Amino acid sequence: MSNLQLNTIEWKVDGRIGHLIMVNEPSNTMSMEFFREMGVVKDMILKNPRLKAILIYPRGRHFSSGVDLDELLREISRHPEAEKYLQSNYASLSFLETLPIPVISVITGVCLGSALEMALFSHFRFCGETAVMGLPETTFNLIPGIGGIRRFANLAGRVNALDFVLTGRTFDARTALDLGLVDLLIPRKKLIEKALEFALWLPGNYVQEMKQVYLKRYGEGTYGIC
Amino acid sequence: MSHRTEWEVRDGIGIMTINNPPENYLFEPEFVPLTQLKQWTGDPSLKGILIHGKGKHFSAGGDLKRLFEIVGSGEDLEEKLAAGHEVIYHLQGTKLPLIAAIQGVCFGGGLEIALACHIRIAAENTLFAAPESCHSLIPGMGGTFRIPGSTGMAKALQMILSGDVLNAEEAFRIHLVDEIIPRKTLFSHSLELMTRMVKNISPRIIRAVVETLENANTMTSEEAAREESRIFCQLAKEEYTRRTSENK
Repeated sequence: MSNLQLNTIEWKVDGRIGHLIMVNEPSNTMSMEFFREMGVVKDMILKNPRLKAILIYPRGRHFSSGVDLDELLREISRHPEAEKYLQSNYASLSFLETLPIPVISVITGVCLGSALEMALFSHFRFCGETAVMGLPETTFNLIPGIGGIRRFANLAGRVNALDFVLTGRTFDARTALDLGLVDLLIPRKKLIEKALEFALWLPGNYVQEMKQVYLKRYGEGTYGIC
Repeated sequence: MSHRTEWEVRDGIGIMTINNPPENYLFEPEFVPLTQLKQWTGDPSLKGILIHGKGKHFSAGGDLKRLFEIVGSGEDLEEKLAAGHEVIYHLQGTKLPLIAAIQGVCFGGGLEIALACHIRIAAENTLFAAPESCHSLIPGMGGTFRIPGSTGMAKALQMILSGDVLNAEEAFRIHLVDEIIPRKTLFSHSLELMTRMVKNISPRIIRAVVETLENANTMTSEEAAREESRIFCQLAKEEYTRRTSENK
């Protein structure tokens, strides 16, 4: 059994490409249930040696508006081991970063807070032209809690990380591209098609360190590396 | 008056002025007395610190004549350098955003102070150098590890061994500074950037963000993630209490 239909996530393997589809529409709020189900999908991914690439995208218009804040605050206040609870949420997303196969997030609509943090753990980010992103946690007296500050700083530099995290302001797709947070801007209707094409195009002996080379070759329409 | 650094607070932002014109030489490695600095930065409502030089220059660094006087008089130079380090560590330990607004000459110890900041904004006319090796010395206030931290080893070696002077453009290219802007707007632009970043959030959250950002540099990613969870949980509990008490 390689396909799985959960309440907030659908996981299906087509050929050797894994599709992680967020199905808790309309806003794909990242609830406790979502993180638990990510844990289940994580196990399936780690146990499947045949996967060539993973695509992450929403079924509807919006990637995700981030965590369910009321639920998270309540849970952390009640939980006897709140830090461990938070770390398990972290682990259910951060494993994406260290996978040996490419992980491509397709950002469309709204992608805020922990949702952007999840996308930042991916190796590639294909972004819809009308997407809106941000790490607004400080405006709720919190900080990005799932590695977002580190990943933002690695991609966009320390100055931008400080600026965007402290102000919590949202930004559009063009800004995200200029900051180096996303790799390609694509019309919304072609996003998934293009991401799938890219996943199939990537060589079997993929190494994450060569990311920029792959993007360049893909952009030129040449298939150089195998 | 052996220490020549001034302090002023505007809208929660501490403005530190290296004030020994014209070149703003640092009279001592401890360019502001630590006890004085602790008093200034002890204000819990402080939201950020901006460092700049009085007049046309940031700072030409340590005064060589004074340095050799210290050595000649039998005073303990190593202890004085350690005191200089402590001032810088204390500034970083405030976990407040630190911005250096740099113009004119930024040499040696001046460069080392600037490098301790999170953000370096330079005027077009700025000149940078680590000239210590030309005087048979090495950078003594963190330059040996903070220069490569910004530029990478290859450029740092060239800069420290040659003592070459770089203009703002070259400094920007090797990531020694983050932004170049016209001299006339240097101070106002730097202050505006700081103000924009910190105006809408509390000192508590500002410090949490800066601490988390720094952890990403100094810790393994596992340690940094654990620390991030710890800080997040504290903030979440405080926010939950605030919300539930508001709803009563």
